[in-house]
Amino acid sequence: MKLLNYSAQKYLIFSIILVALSIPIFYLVLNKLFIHSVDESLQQQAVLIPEYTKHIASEKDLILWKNLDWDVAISPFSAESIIDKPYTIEEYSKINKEYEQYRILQKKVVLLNKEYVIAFKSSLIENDDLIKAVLGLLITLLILLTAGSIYINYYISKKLWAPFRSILDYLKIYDLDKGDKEWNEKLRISEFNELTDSVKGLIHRAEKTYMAQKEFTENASHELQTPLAVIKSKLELFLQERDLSEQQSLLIEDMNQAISGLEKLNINLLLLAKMDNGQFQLNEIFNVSEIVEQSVTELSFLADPEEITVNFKHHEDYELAGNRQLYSQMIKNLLINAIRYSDKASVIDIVLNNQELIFSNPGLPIPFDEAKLFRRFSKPSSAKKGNGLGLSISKKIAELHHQKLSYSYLNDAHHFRIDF
Amino acid sequence: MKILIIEDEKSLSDSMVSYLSKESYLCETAFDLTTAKEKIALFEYDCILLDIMLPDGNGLDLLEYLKKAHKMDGVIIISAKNSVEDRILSLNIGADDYLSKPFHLAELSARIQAVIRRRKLNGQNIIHYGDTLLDIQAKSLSVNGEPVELTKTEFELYLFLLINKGKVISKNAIAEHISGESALFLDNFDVIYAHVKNLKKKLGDSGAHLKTVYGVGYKLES
Repeated sequence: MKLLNYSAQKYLIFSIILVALSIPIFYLVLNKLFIHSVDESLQQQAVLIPEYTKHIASEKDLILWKNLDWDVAISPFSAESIIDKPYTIEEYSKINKEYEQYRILQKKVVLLNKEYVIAFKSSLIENDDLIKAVLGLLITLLILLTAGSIYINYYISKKLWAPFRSILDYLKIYDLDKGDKEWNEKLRISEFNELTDSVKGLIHRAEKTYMAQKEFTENASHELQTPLAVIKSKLELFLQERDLSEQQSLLIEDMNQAISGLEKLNINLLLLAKMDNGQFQLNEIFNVSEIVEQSVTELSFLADPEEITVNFKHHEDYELAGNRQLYSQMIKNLLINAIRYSDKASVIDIVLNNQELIFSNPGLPIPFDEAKLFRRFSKPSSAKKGNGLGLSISKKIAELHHQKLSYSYLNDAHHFRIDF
Repeated sequence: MKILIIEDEKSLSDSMVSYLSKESYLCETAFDLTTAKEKIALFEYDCILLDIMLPDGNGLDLLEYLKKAHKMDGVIIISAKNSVEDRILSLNIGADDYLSKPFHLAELSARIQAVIRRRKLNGQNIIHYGDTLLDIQAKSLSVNGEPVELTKTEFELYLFLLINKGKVISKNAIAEHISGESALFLDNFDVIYAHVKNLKKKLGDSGAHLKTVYGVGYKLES
């Protein structure tokens, strides 16, 4: 839920509750006030009873009064029918043709030596109309007030949170690799300035760490090359010594092998790190078939002694924008793989069209999980070949070129396939 | 032939001197840019081996300096950075070759020979060995006057062995020389054996001088 909607929603809920509660409360209070005032005016009339009664001299006068004043009812006194306090009754009104409410106040009076009950009556119909009018006004006012405050709150919040939005937008497009331009906007709200300062600090620290890590990987790799070069050269000099025994020579060879492995591991790790860091330019245009042909020629020294034939078929050519050197490394790696895992005198097929490039070579199924094939440092435990980085590097190179490298085993043959 | 080795890692510099001296090169060393500049001003060299990362500056600056001073003797950049950008940059400035660390001394020797050969117009393009005659320009071999067909790999292999004549060359060094960048993904160099065997056959009587050293490497007797 968006921040703005959230606060607007809370406002709305509060307003609805407020309106819903205030309507009956208003009604009750208004009604009570009105009845109170009616009662007061009835009491006032009751106080004036002696004024009226002093004019009544006979039974006839009494009947006249009864007939002239509709708001007065006079009846003979009976102890059980008199009610002390004012009360409300509902009566059918012949004029309005509906039931109406009246307020009644009864008083005991002695007239012409007889006890009577005089009841003063006041219609509550005005009361109803008034309450309705007041309530209507109130509700309109309340609704307008609520709508207004919700709108203002929404508007203010929108303005208030605008810097937050722009910080968010800035963070969304921020790329650690590119080290985007700094955030320099000064904001009116101090909390947001604090936030941007913290974000800037965080980014700065992240950039520093990232750069340090990047630098470290590169430097460590480079720094390792020099001692490796020293060992390598010393071993080569050692090999030139006269009177080396066979055993000594073989010891040197073992060391040479280990150094060579270490050296390749180092270079491959550096390559992976550089790819992870996106440090390669990908804007050369090159021909895939050209690279494949070159690689086949270059690797003939590997295929020829095993009498392995490499068949390269391409009807269509494919041009690609990317890093030529990296791409050719991937092709060579896949081809070396195919040669390595082929039997003597077998045939490796390479097929290129404008959708895919497929390397296939006959061979026994691989003895381990295909999913692990492209993972770094994973290799069949039985195989001593390679450092387990070749295929993961190839996959990464394909990804850099927005292509997909996959493996399948079909018809007793391994297929490595690059989808363009 | 005079060579200047500009390399701050003394131990590596020593190795280079010791290997190259046996090939009748006269080697001088400099461990920093200042000394290197002094020596270049005083003497002429046939080839300069230049490390990029030096204690008092970048080797590429020296390369620029050499270019301005028109003293571009054959320069081979030796760098711990195996980066394409550096390689292209140094070749663009005018370096003759680029070799990344760690390298085989036999490889270094082959690169130096190639640079010197290219630099000197009257350079020797034909190498005699026993009954054999290798024409580097035409990439052809004749044994006892008879032309013998060599594959590209065999030619490279023979040239490499000839340049490092009298030294034990490990299988590893040969494989890396022949496979170039693909060596990065190679883990087993047994394939070299097949190529050496074929070459030995083609060399006829002289092939007997190509010796296997305990399964460690090969040596062409001087």
